[in-house]
Amino acid sequence: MSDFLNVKQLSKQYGTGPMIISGMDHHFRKGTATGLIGVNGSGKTTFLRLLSVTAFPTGGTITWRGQPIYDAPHNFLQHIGIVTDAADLPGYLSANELMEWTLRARKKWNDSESPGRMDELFKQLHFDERRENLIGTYSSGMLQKTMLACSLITQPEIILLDEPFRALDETSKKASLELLNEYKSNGGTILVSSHLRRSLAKLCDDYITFPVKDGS
Amino acid sequence: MKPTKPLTYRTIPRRHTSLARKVTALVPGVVLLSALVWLSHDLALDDRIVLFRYLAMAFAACMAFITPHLLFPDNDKTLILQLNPSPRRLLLHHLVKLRALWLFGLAAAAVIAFGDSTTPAQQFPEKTRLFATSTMALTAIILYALYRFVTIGERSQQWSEGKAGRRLFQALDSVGKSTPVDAGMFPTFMSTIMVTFVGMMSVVVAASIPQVHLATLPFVLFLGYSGFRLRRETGRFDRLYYQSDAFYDELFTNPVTGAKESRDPATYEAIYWVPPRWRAAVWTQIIQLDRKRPMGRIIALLSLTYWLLIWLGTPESWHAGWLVFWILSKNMLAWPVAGPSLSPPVFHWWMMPPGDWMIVRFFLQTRWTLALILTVAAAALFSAAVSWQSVMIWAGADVIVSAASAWLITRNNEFAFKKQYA
Repeated sequence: MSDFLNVKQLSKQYGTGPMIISGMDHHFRKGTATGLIGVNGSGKTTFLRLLSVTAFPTGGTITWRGQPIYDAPHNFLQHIGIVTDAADLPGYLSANELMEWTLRARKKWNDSESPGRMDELFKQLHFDERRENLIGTYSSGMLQKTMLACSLITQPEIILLDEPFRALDETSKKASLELLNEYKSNGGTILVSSHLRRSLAKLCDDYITFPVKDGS
Repeated sequence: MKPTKPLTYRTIPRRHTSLARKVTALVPGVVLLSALVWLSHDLALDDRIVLFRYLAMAFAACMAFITPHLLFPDNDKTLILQLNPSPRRLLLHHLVKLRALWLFGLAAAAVIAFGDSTTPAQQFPEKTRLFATSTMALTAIILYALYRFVTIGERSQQWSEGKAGRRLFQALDSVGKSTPVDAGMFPTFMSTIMVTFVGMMSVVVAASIPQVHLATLPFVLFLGYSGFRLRRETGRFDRLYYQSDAFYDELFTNPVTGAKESRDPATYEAIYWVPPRWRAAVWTQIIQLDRKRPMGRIIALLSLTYWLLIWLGTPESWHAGWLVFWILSKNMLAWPVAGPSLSPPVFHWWMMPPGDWMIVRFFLQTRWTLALILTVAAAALFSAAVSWQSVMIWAGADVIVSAASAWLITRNNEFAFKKQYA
């Protein structure tokens, strides 16, 4: 087993409530897409929160390249892109400005190349000239495209997507799937939760069915 | 594509704040500073030093209570994850969040030290030394509070999941008592006590040193200790930040503990004193607030402290000051009930007009007015320091503050929503 991204005996409960996830073991391979499926409240979002270091496990751990991700979140998050289902982004910036900020913050901004790459990415996502408008005026679909674009532009090794297609129209959904498949074929690893099984089928190589209790 | 102009890069995201919100935040500060100017304008230097000690003690108590609420859960988390700032920048992010309170403390200290209308130029070096000492004390308190609350995540999660504190809960169970809040809050309570205690003790120790030059030493040591502890945590500040934020996020905004409630919630019938038109709404607001905060115990603590101050024979201005604190605390503690997680604007808009919600909040705020009346009346019964007339004065003040508070929080939630979409 390689040490790319491993989940070992992972468990999570909220307070003294029931275990949401227990005894979970999984190895994620580089360059694959894994669909997280299951009924509402089965632990898919909790698992993505654990992977994005916004929740901490009750037991077990997640390691990336042999290191527990919770020991140095900043180092781990350098290689991660995150698309949440409830984006809370600064309303008085445009998508362009947010993307530039993301690149500069992660020290990946290049004066000659970055504007062109941003432009290309937006075109692929069918994000029209309204990307110059303030984020506060965006629809939920435009917000999701903004999040997806900001995540992909940093060229992460892993991308975590929580219901990324929910608010997208058919054209945007198709464009997003094409982009994600291209990202995967270039070696990117995708973990995606969605209820849209048909969309997942066009992307995923593997599935994890939630709830995961006692490893099953 | 239109070339984007380079942004001034700051890791700390800034949200746009409307002028109305800025004014709302500034008004209490300006009122408090004005009161301080009025109190201190003709004081002698020794009295100014005493006033500074009160300020430092109040500041310690305030920081002990308010720090976790200011820092966690972080409203900017989506953006923080996107930008992925370094541990050092996350520390700066937290320091910036506390900056407004620090500046307010310094402004208050400056008023105490230099706000002398009778002899402004006299004893200037002594006044400057007092200001420098105040700056050190207030900075030390803020840094210590930040250190305590940012390092709390791991322990809090263990308490919350029942991995820590088993003996305490077994002891409570054996005497038939249950805890009023999530067990994960115990480390927060301990930190609240520690910040208050250490902050106040530094003032007490400084006050007990007769040599003026050496009286600054406790604050120098306190500041050095707090700075040293925070400095030591800088390297792993990202882990501390994400773990504490995760804990408070689960506690404050995702109360899905699944644990059984330790007390039965208030019933609809118990809200008989509210007219039927608003009763259901007041009832749901009350049970939500009670699940978030042990309001009854807080009110009892505020009243007991008031009686203690009277029993100790403290000056009447202290009694009045504490009752002002009583009323403001009671009102401000209910403010989270108007936040979007407890009062989703769309749902509220659908339920009834914003004006009605203002009345609902007024009833929510005044449900403790009777407790205030009984508190002051009991004091009037046993102490000559409190007059019967004051009972009605304080009740009236509470009703006015409750109305103002109801207007303010409804304006920021339901009325703001109406203005945006209607």
